[in-house]
Amino acid sequence: MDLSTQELEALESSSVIQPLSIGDIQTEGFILTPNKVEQVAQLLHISVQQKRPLSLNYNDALLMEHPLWMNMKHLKTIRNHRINDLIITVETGITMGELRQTLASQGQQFPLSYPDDLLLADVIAQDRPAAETGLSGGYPRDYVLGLEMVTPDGEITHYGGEVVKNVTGYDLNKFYTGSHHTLGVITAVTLKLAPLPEATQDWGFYVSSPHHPWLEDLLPWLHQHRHQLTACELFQKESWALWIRAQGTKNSFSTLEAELKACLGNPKPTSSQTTRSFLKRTHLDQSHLLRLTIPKGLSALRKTLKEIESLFPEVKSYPIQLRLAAGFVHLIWQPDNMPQLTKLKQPLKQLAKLAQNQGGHLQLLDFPSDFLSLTQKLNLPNDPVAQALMYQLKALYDPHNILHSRHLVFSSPSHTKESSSS
Amino acid sequence: MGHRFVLDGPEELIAYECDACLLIKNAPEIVVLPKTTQEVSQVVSFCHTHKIPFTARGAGTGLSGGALPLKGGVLISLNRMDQILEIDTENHTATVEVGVVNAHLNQALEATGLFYAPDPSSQSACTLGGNIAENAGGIHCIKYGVTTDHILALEVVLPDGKITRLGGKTRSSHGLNLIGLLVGSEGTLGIITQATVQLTPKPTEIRAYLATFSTIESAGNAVSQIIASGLIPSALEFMDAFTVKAVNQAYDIGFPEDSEAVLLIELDGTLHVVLDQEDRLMAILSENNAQQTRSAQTAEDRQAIWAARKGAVAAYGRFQPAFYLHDTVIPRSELTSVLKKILAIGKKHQILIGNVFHAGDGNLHPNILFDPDDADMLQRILKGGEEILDVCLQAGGVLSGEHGIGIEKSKYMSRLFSEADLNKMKQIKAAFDPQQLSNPLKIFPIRAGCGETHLSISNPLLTTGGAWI
Ligand SMILES: Cc1cc2nc3c(=O)[nH]c(=O)nc-3n(C[C@H](O)[C@H](O)[C@H](O)COP(=O)(O)OP(=O)(O)OC[C@H]3O[C@@H](n4cnc5c(N)ncnc54)[C@H](O)[C@@H]3O)c2cc1C
Repeated sequence: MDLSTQELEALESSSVIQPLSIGDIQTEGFILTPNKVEQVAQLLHISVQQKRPLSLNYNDALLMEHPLWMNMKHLKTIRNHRINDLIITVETGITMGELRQTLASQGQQFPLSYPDDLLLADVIAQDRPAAETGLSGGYPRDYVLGLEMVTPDGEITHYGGEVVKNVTGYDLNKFYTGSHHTLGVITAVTLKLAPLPEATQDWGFYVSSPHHPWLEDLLPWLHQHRHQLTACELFQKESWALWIRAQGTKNSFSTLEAELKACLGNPKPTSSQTTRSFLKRTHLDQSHLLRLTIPKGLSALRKTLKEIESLFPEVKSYPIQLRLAAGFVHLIWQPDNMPQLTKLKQPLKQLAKLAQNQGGHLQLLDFPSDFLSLTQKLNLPNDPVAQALMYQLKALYDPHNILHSRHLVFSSPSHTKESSSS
Repeated sequence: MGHRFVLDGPEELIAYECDACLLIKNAPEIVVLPKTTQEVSQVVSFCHTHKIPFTARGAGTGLSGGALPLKGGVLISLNRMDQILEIDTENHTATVEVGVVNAHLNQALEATGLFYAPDPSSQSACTLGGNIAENAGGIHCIKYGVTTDHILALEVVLPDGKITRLGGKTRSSHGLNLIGLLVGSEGTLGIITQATVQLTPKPTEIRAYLATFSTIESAGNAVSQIIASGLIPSALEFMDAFTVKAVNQAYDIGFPEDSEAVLLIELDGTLHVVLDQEDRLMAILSENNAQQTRSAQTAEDRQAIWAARKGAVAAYGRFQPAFYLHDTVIPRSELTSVLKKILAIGKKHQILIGNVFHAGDGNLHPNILFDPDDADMLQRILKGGEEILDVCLQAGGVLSGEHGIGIEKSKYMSRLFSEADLNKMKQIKAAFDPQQLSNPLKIFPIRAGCGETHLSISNPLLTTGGAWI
């Protein structure tokens, strides 16, 4: 596809392409705000022609020289809602809040919960695990039945369908969900939904360290009730606290509560304010997040915690979060307490090795720009054959390497400020 | 590998000339039976160097002709790679070689309180490698998910012979999700040699129910209402009147025969949850005018119900010697209207069609019965089969829910996908396998004039969809 000058002018005059400024400062970048899927194809084409890097994430775009930031906010049409089938096809510029409201009006929900202002595009592109429903699945890819993706060659492609089971051709739903928009731009998805639960119940308790025996009773209990429990999180700042959420019918909660208390040995409840703040913290906004994904068993968890405590003796000064049963250990830094790269590099590599030896891995999410090379190393698998295959597939979709994400870094990013300054 | 494990005599090759889709026959030129990943890698490297096609084979229970070496070359049979390498009860994982039979893994897990959830009806024979390659489903997938939802790691021999290991003991993907891409790729992107699978704690309470209905509508409506209510049964299966009759005759199971449709439903979880769900289920069934609801009182009763369900396909053998089995998925709300159309197609072409399927997933399995010696009937069932596929696609359905595309449905792929969609899939295939050696001529439509296939072009399945066994 070649874009004529007229087409380009049309995109500019309809404000689809606008200069990007940060506050009062004019950058050399542009915001691209497509109104329809065909414009996404045109914009990708411009980006390829000009070999300008493009990102769908504002913060990622700011890391680049001459960035193009594609904002999907106008692409939010509900294309089809099969209410009786619990299936919706929707464009990805919709916010999770808007999606939640639309579905709630029909007594339905997307089973994973996210902050209201997050775009569905980000949730899908990152295959972003939710704080909730961490127990019985918890990945968006589990709920993606179909998907529309615009590839850098300007093709609008479709896979899957409005059915809950499908083995017609390669499973590109699974391959694209979680590809961080590095292979193309996911513009619409078909999602599997659930009815709104009759009731939701939160419990918050102060607990002793996870090294103590109570966790041995809790883990099997969690597995037993995994279809009812939608979140279970341990959080340490000064002391440890536990947050558990269940969905279901009201009369099932009293039995659950009694069993939970028995597991924990009559724990002290946290204040409702602390429980609420759990919810806030789980969204992890504006944080630099280190995610260790480890197997679900107790030994892996305790071993990992021990290693963290020895590598980061000051760990109590920044929060550590354990999403039990989902197997996540999060270390969370805010921009103002983020240690230097030189200080973190070695411990991070050590932690990555430990995670790998246990059958897990480590990821750096939303880390500052000087961590990009390290992110590239850690967020791709070590196996050279697997890595080569991933690079090959990336080159197949995006030969000019225009699509960038800070979470899935494919090349020593020549377009980024880090490499240009170094 | 040793001579014993390389077969090239015609009488040895005959055993590999087809899978459970008996119509398409194409004996391999040579069969190798490797024992290790290294041996698989050596065979594949050799094929790569000499540009020889190769095709993986598990138990050969596939229903879309997937394990047939259509371009000749080497058939790599993985049955000797049958070791369960690790059962990790603490982390709920098992690591297996791909020749392990699905049911054998569950037998090995018996005492652990854990189970491997995907349970195709062929589980007593099919291998985990075949399950992964086809992304197999089963009766309990409505609640527990299909194969792809349970695969944590794969060891794969790529089409150039290189070995790669993907994943670990967690569900999170690291980099691009190659595991998601490989599961269901029908052996066209390489040969899977090992897998780490997710195990699930066994529920403490399981209850099975049987409900009969005087009309297909009321059964279909009950299915829709169960789904919409948020009840997630661990199984929700449909049998039509003809299938009930067949099953009763074959297994003396005593399913009520005075109804148009039967639903088999299972609930599981903790006792408390199951009791709560049971109340809701019974209310839905009675609201939809179930004639009779019966619960399986004992574990033996339950097993008998599921054995009959799993044996339904075999039970059709009393009516005609062969059947032509379709596998499509439709939106669940379309069940009633599509089923009626399928029955009308049967009437129109004067063919017997038995319907037994995963209603909770909208995954239809119309079984068209026929006599292979009756040429006229053969034409009618092929025509009927194609019409069924069209009806399903028109209802918003897709070509396959669990049996895969193989050679059986490849020619219909362009009815569902645009050229751009198919091209992307083909490019992925080319990135993995630039020489097109790994299970060639599968999934993608064979272009007219493609003279390379070793198959006789008069083979009905190359001109019409469906498989019969
Ligand atoms: C009576 C009956 C009932 C059935 N019920 C079900 C059901 O309920 N659900 C369902 O999903 N299916 C069902 N099937 C279909 C079939 O059993 C499944 O597709 C099964 O997964 C095939 O396994 P297999 O070991 O027999 O594979 P095969 O038939 O040998 O091979 C199937 C495909 O997988 C490829 N393959 C095999 N092993 C590997 C490997 N290691 N690496 C890469 N590719 C490989 C082959 O090349 C081929 O394309 C049924 C079949 C029958 C006959």
